[in-house]
Amino acid sequence: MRTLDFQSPTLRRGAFQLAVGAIAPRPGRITVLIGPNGGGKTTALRLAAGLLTPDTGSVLIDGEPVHALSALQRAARIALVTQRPDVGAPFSVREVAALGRIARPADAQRVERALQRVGLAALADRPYHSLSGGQQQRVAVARALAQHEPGGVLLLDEAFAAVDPPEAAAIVRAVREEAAAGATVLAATHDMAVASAIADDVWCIVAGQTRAFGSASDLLTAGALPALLGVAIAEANGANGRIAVADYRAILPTQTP
Amino acid sequence: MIGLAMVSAATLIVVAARLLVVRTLDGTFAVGWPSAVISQFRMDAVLAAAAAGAALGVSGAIMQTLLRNPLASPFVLGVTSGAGAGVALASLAAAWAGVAAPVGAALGVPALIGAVTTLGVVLFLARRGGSIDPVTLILSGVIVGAIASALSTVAESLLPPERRGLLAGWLFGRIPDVPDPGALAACAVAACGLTALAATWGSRLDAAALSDDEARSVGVPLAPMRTAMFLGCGIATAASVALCGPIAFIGLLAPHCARALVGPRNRILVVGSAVAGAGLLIGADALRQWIDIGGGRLPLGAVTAVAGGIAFLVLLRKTTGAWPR
Repeated sequence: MRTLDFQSPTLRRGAFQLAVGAIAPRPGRITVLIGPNGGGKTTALRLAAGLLTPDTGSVLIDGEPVHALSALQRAARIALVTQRPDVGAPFSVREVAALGRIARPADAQRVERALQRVGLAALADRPYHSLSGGQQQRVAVARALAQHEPGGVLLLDEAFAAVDPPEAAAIVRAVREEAAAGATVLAATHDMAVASAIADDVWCIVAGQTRAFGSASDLLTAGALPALLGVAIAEANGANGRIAVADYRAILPTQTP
Repeated sequence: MIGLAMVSAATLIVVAARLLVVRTLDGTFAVGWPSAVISQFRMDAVLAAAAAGAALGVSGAIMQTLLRNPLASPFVLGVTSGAGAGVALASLAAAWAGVAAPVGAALGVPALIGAVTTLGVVLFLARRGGSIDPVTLILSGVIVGAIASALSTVAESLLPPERRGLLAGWLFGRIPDVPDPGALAACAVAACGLTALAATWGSRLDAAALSDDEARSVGVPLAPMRTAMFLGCGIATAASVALCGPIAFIGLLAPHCARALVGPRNRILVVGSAVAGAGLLIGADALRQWIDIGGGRLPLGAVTAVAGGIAFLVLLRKTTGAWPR
């Protein structure tokens, strides 16, 4: 199993500074990154992927600075789903998913299995650009699953954002299977219901700094979340326990007829 | 493979037509093997057109992939015009210095400087927030290309009259009947070398079509690959300009023709684009030979500009800068 270790990395970009302190997402568990827009979730994920070099501190994978690894070495250990997937060529869905294997030995069965896991096997021969935004997001997840080796690191940046609930459930199932097989999963989301469905641990980043890091049972609650995020949170009874949702009626002003 | 065979067969048919179809003095056409002297002239011209067309075709395919833009090509991005401006300015400098104008393979140096400078300026202008904006890219290419063409015209007008005619004819774009051996060899090596390199890196080029973060995360060393590929495109374009002058739209059309037949995977697409570019330019030169609307044969650059310009507008209408749904 791979280990991912944030050793107090800092990064300044203009007026924004990220300084999240020492955080170690645990292998075999899903750590959900929450926080307001622009707070630093994506920057933290890009640091973890080795796409940014910290000004000070470091992010280590298996004890090595991730930004110092070659692109091939990183691809063998870390798979990433970005917030805005993009494909600038007229590829089919299958061809896009297979791009996850370009740095790894070719494995057509693995690509097909990845497409099945996100519910896109029937659309594999369709042109990628003919799909909806949510379907394209699922292709990006399939590409990452085709790349991801058991026990590796899986980074998801709002991978559920444009996806309908039934398809999101398929992604949740796939991510949970990878975590059960030993993957270190770090997933950013603004959807508290999705966070409730997948989180083992929660990492809250606000204004570039870690506001809280702990187990989901402690932090994803109507008692803890309002203090962390500054929004009203309600709890509902789900099939497998309580889930947290943003209470927009408590946020919006009351309308009078 | 079937698609590549179709592209190759179409190119062979065009080559055969260029070699075998003879226009008689009364304006009619006949089919037959010409005399040894004439067939050598035609073969040299075919080789020059094939080398230049292949260089432009493969450069266009690589640019469209790396820039994620179906409208990118050496001409649309101003690189062809930039190479032409480099040669025109070198000719002017030579005239002012009182030395002979560069000819043959020696044209490659100013052409390369002009091509790489133009490409660098266009990519710099198109950068928005760390990524290349597709609309700004095309606009920058068109404007920088227009400035480069204007520089060529200025240089031409400042040349002494005895030197002006040679440069003016070259700036129109033409397939030389007797190509300079050095320029022909340089262009052929550049086209074959760039095609081989791009085919070897085919999977990486495929992944470069993803967003920058995604491409790097699947294992593509994006920055060094882009630098090497763009430099290769600059060298191949400059070599084609040194051989045949600035030729429009072959680099845009050849990848689209090849993509329709061999698909979008770069390992085979770059080979198909090189073959299609060769076929298109040989075909355009043959067409130019056969069209007679009075007043002599048409300049090659005019034929490719008219045909390619219409095709560009069709593509623009169809794609609006993005890949079609």
